[in-house]
Amino acid sequence: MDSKSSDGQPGSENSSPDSDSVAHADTVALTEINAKDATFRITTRRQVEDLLDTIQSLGLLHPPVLIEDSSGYSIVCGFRRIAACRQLGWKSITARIHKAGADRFEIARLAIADNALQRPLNLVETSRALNLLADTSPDQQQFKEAALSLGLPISPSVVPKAREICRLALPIQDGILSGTINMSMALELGKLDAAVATALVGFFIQLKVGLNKQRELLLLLTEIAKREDVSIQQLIAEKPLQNILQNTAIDRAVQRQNIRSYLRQRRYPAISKAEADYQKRVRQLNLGKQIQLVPPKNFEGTTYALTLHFENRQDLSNLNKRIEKILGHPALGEILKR
Amino acid sequence: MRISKLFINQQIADHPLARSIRARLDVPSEYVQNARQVHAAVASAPDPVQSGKEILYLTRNRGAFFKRCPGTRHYTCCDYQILHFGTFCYMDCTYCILQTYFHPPILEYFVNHEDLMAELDTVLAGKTVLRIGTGEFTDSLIWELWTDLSKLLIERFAAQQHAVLELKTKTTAIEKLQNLNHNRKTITAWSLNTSRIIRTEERATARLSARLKAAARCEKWGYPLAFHFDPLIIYDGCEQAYARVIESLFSHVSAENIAWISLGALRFVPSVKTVIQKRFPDSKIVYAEFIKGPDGKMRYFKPLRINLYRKIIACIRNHAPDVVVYLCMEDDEVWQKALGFKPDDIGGLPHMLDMSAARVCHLKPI
Repeated sequence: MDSKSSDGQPGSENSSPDSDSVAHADTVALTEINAKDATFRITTRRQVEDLLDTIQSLGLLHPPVLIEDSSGYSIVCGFRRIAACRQLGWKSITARIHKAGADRFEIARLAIADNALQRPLNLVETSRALNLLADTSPDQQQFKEAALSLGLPISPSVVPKAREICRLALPIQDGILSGTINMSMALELGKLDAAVATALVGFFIQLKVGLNKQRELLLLLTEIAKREDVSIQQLIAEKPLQNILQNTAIDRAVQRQNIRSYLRQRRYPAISKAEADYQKRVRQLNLGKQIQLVPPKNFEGTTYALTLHFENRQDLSNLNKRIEKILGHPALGEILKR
Repeated sequence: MRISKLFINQQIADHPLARSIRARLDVPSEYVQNARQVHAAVASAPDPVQSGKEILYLTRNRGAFFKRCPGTRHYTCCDYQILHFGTFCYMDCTYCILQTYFHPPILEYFVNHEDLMAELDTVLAGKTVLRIGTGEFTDSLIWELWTDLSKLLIERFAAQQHAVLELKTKTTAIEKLQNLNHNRKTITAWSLNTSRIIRTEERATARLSARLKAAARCEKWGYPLAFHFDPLIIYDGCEQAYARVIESLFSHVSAENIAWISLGALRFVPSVKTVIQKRFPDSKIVYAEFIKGPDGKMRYFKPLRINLYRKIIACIRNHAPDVVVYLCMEDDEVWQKALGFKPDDIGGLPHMLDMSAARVCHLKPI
């Protein structure tokens, strides 16, 4: 196939040459299109396999939109369509072309609308759209109005954070796109060195942990690393963690628990030991399901609580006997002695 | 110290002390209607805390000059009274609570000493033992360069028999204390720490040896002394390091002139952690084993505190078996395990300190 113009519109249709804003349709050689210029790229999808069959059999139903630049054309809409055409071996396509001097704000809205009006944008795409709009809009009011009409967030508390997302290291963005991390965690990771963030995203993906656990693990890793003057990457690469991570014989939930326990013990060795000692002694007391012994919070206070669960007098009487036994047990003395 | 600008409340523009400080501080000055203008200037700086250390705001204290020590019911407080003549500090300790205590913190000095002295007269009119300190919201002696308040206070306390003034500092600004008639009613006190902590966590403060030499000079001038190991900071080798500080302390001063030595392990409100991480990214002190206490402050896990207190107390006892040692903001369990008795066993901590003040400072309460 030499070339194919299949936009369903006459290829010779031109707009007024005097108007910078109005596009005209024309046939453009693919070699003239700069595919590397991602100024107007909103989509995060790179694969084109889903488009190949349709384009091959029906042609380009919707012509891509281009804008003239110093060396040819940049893509405004249709990054994937053009990539598919290249993959199909086409030499040229029919596209709608804007003049180089066209209103950048209008072009930006076109690029965003082409994506946002077809499907919900993901977080990275939203971020790209907001940045593109902010960079081209003449003022804040027009930015807000355009964002609103395109279904983008306009809250002052959200916009700056959302705009930050597409500037983060690519592995963090990939973490968002894979659903492993959310905006809040992405921004946290964005404060770290890119290599460290990359290691953490990999760590979270491997463990498949939710946001709360991610936060806990990040805090533990960060504080251990700072205290011990090692990098987070080194910590993750150390044998104890790797042994747990590479142990495929254990369930993922157990793996997560083991990782958390290991990090907590390393971050809080004295507290972890006290908790373990306490649990060991409570087990020695053999309290059963009807009695709970609650230590002072963080072992800071000195008051313990004993909770009894019973249904009738006999139950309570039995518990009373159990309590008598507990009172004489050496483990209770050990607990109270601290 | 780098005071780069002086703000003066319009209402005290003609106060003699404001004029005097302005003359002594050769920096640009600006008259303002109220503190909000100063706060705005500081708050807009990239590091408002640092900015608050570089300006001085002269104003009038409209409230009380005397306040109770802000203890909590969960821990035993020494129950001393705070003489509040100014706020904040130009020194820059990583752990300083004042970084978050005021919003934003600024160096602020109250020039209405006439009101202060009148209130002091009222407080001193009672005849019970009083311990009064100025080092709670600021360092007691950083103001010596521009003011003569210490002289005023020391001489006023010298003229009575039942109250002591404690000037607590990390400086060596003692020159103006020489030759004053103090009548042993002013205790000069130093916050002490290991050389490593002073170097890494107490920026712009005097070195340990300088503090101890200053203490020795004050002892030579007849002043009673006190020392505060607060905050004690746990790190590898800290026990040996604190032992060396104690050894050095008793090689500079004699135990019989020490009214008290306090020990207090590092504690901080959670918001201070964020400030430390932001302002002092190299500091590691917040990464130790802390728990949140019932008063909401972060504290070292109790067994770790007890262990450190025991070691330090044993070391102090080796040098000075009879010196009064107390724990700042700890509970009965820690007292019992660290000191071997609870405050109530000896009539309460305030009583214990009153007795020591009476003995060392020659008080004669009625």
